[in-house]
This record gives sequence, structure tokens and C-alpha cells, in this order.
Amino acid sequence: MALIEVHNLRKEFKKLVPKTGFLSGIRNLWNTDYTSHVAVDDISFKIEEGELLGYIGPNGAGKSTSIKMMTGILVPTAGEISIAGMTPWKQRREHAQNIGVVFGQKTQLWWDIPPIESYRVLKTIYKIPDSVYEKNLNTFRDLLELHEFENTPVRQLSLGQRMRADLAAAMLHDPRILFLDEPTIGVDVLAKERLREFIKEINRTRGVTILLTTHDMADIEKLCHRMSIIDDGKLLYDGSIHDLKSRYGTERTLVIELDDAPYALHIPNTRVLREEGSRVWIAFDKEKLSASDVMMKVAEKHTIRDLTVEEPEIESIVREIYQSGLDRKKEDGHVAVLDV
Amino acid sequence: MSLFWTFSRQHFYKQSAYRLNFWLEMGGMFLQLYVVATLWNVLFTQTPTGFGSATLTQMITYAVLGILLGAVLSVDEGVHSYLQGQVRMGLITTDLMKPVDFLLHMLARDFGATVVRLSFYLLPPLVFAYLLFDLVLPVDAVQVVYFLIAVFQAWVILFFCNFLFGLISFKTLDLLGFIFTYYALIRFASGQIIPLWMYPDWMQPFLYALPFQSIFYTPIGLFTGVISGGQATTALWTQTAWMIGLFVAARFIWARIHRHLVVQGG
Repeated sequence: MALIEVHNLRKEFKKLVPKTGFLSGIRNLWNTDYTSHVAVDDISFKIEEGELLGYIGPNGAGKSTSIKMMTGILVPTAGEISIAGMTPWKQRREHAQNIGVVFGQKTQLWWDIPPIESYRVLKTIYKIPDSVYEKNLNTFRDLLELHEFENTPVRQLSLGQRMRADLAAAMLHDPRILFLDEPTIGVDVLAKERLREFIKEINRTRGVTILLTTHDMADIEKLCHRMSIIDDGKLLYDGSIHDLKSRYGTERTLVIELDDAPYALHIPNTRVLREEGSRVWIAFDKEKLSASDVMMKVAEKHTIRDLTVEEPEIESIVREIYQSGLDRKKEDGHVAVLDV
Repeated sequence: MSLFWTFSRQHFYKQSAYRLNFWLEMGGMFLQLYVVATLWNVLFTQTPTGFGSATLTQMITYAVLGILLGAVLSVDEGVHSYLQGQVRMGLITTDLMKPVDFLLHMLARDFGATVVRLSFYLLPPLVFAYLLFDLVLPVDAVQVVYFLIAVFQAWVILFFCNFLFGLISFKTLDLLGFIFTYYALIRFASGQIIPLWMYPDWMQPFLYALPFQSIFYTPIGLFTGVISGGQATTALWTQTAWMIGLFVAARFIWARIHRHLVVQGG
């Protein structure tokens, strides 16, 4: 049995429909018109022990809602979740010992006091033995360079430092599973790199199973082997990154440097993306044409000095998937609803 | 139990982070003490017999204790304001993910805050008030013990009242509209500012039937000797009954809310 099993998960929220028009502010006081909004719609997947899964989707897709159900904060409308043999919202306290959670936009540290003091509280709450606590703290001091700021009140920390402090807080009690909800949000490049190193390290050396959501595709490419894409509450893709590229990303770009100025490059089934001096970017579908076909057509009229073929970035594939979701929603005539 | 002490430690830390705040609050308390003492002096010189059988020193003691206990058993700062803040910011998730019982967790947190307020806001002003005014002091050890038990039970009762009140924010995501009603209810119906016996006769049965009188009237009454003898034990048992009743209510309502929980913010 997999460590995390999610079956036909569904979550609906009731939303108040605000009154408009005459005295709307007052009439809203006893307004009871609710509509139902489906945040997560029939999602199923499994995660094996030790996996590092990228869980992505546009804002309001239902990522956070599904994480909240997996952490036992929200109770689903329908469906089942089994994590390490437990149902999160039924065995909330036992489950909490098993998991660590970082919500990038929130902090579990006390705002007015240094992180090290918050860790002391966590030590008591999670009943962490002294030896484990000391050992973990020392490891994190090395990996996350906690010693730089562990005695500074949290409100004075930079976002990158706070995120490091929060990561350490989530890992103090040796959880088997780590939920990271946008841990790299708003963090600079260097700090991001350090966070990624840490995530990779604990996944590799401690075998911690990690579910990571992010909007930064570089996080996914550098960390995950497998990714799930969710939009509008539905699971659109679940598989390896390699498969995603070959399934959705059939477009390649040929970058050619010519001897002369590019002209008359109208090759059927391709389009010119960009021209810059003697360089030109040509997009083609690899199912219909091969790179050498395109090259030959160009070589008929020009001398080629240099060329490279660019694979699609995961980012552009994902953008396309999100965009098609958005188009579909517009067609259906309903408006994107905010995430709760 | 260690949870309770860890939280106290954190709150001492937090307190020391806002030193200016502390001195301002302390200054404000001294001012309040001075004002109520003057007020009762003036009232008593004008109508010495207008306040039942209570003497001037009893009244001043009552008013002083009302202010001091009001600073420790706070209505401004308590589990309700914590809950409201966390719910509004969507941070309540971090509390719900801890492997401890939520109610116990909140109780430990409130305990920490109260211990800090007790040591900062009760003792220094009490010494100040003792030096400055004539106060009625408890005459025997039993009275002191009763008073301490009453303060402890009052803390638990206020905690559950605040907790239940704070739960409103899970439904409305805010407490703004309710907070003034709640303040007024606690301050006036508890006898913190005006002793309960001064209220009109028709109101008294209602006031005694509410839990709020157990929060301030009982401990202050025991300290000043207004409540004594058989009444004293009855008052303490009434507190205990409220503690249990409110605990059951808090548990029950929290369990229901937890089931229907919606956390704000992505």
C-alpha cells in the first residue's frame, strides 16, 4: 500500500451570494443565498514512500484545499484519504506527528520572538526527545545556516530567512511526510537555491516523502521526478516530467544563425518566432517535421553558420495547459472563482 | 503541564519585546486607580449612606481590585482576540496542525499570557495602591485561600467565555460588531466596575444567573469580605459549576465547528 492514497476526493464550499442594489449593505446582514463552489472535484492519486511530487496548478485550482484535507485541517465533502494508514481528519493528532507542513505565505513561528524560542514550544508540543531535538537543530544549522538569525525576532527576518526558519520548524519532529505549499514564493534566487538544496537533501538522506506546490517551474525541474497538474479542481496530468514533455510539448524551436540577413523563410508548417540580426527562431511541430527538414529548407537559400534545437521549457507547456483550462471556462460561461 | 510553562516562557519573551507598551499600560493603570479612588471619595462625602452597608474603604478596595483583576483577567487580550487574528489571517491552520488537543493548546497559551500579566500588572500596582489608599485586607488565611481559588476559577471561566465568544469569528471571520456588546457585558454584568448589589432589584436575579458575576464579583467580594461565611462556599461552588458547564459547552460547540471548518485564505 502506498504511503499516501487519495480516492475520489471532493470538496465543496458554500459561498454567500452578496446582494446588490438598494441598501445592499444592510440586506446582506440576513442574506442567506448560498451557492456551492466545487474546489476539488473527484481527485485520486497515490504517493509512494520517499517520492518527491510536484503538485502544481494555477491560483485557485484547488491545490491548497487538497493539501488542507491531507493535513487534516479540512474535512472533505466526499472521498477518502489514507496517509500512513490513517484518515487525517479523524486521527488528527496522531497524523500531525507524522507530517510537517510549510505554508509559504504563512508562518507557524511566533512573530515577536526569535525562531529558537518557537522551536522550544514545538519541542514541547511534539514531545521531541532532547537528543533528537539537538541533533536535528544542529543538522539544520548546517544545512540552512540557521545560526545567522536564530536569535533574531521573526518579524525582523527577511522572507528567505523566515522560510528557512519555517522549514526547520516543520522538520524538527522528524516527520515522514512533508507538505510544502509554495515554499519558494517571493524568495530571491540564491535563497531559493538553498531551499531547494535542503529539500533535496532531506528527501535523499532521510527518505522524507515530499509534496511540493509551487509556481516556479524551476523548482519542479530541479527537484521532482513526478508531477501532478490540477486545474479547476480536477487532476489534468499525473506522471513523470519526461512524459509530460513528450506528450504535450511537441513543439521545438530551431535557432539558426545565418551568414546573411534572414529573408524568404516561409516554410510550410513552421512559424518564425523572432528575428534578431542574422539570427532567427523557427518553431515547428516535431510530429509533422523533423529538424533536418527545416534545416534543409533554410539551407536552400542561406548559408547556415550555427544552429541549435530548443526543447520546450516545462513552463511553456504548463502555461499552455493553464491557458486551455481558462479558455474552457470562458466557453462554459462561468467565471473563475477565488480559492478559499 | 510542561506545555503550560513553555507558553509562559514565550509570553515573558513577548512582553519584553514591547517595553514601551508595558510602561504605558502601567501608567494607565496607576491613573485609573487614582481616578476611581478620588471618585469614591467624592461620592461618599456627598451621600455617605447611599451605597448600602459598604464602607468607603471597602468601596475603594472593591474598585481597586476591579481594575487590577481587570488587567489580569483581560477582555481586550485573550483567546478570543487570538482566534480572531488567526482566523482572519488564515493562520489558524498552523494551530490546527499541532498534535495537541486544540482546547488544551489554547488554554495553555492563555495560561502563559495570564501568568505574565499576573506578575507584571497585579503585584506592582497592588503595592502602589496599598501604600496610597486605605484598603480592606483579608482578615484570615481562609479568606486569602478562598480568594486565590476564586481568581483561578475566574480565569478558567473567563477563558471559556472568551473561547466561546472567539468561536464566532469562525463563522463571521470577524468580531468587530460583537466586541463592544461583549465588553459591556463582561465589564458591567460581572461587577467589575459597579458592585452587583447597586443594580436595581429587578436586574439582580438576571445578573446572578449569568456566569459573568463569577469572574469579578466573586473574587473581589471574597477579598473585601462582602461575600463571607456560607455565601463564600456557595459562590466558589457556583464558579466550579460554571467552569464545568462552560467546558462542556466549549467542547461541544468546538467539535461542531471543527467539522464544518472553512479556513480563510489560499
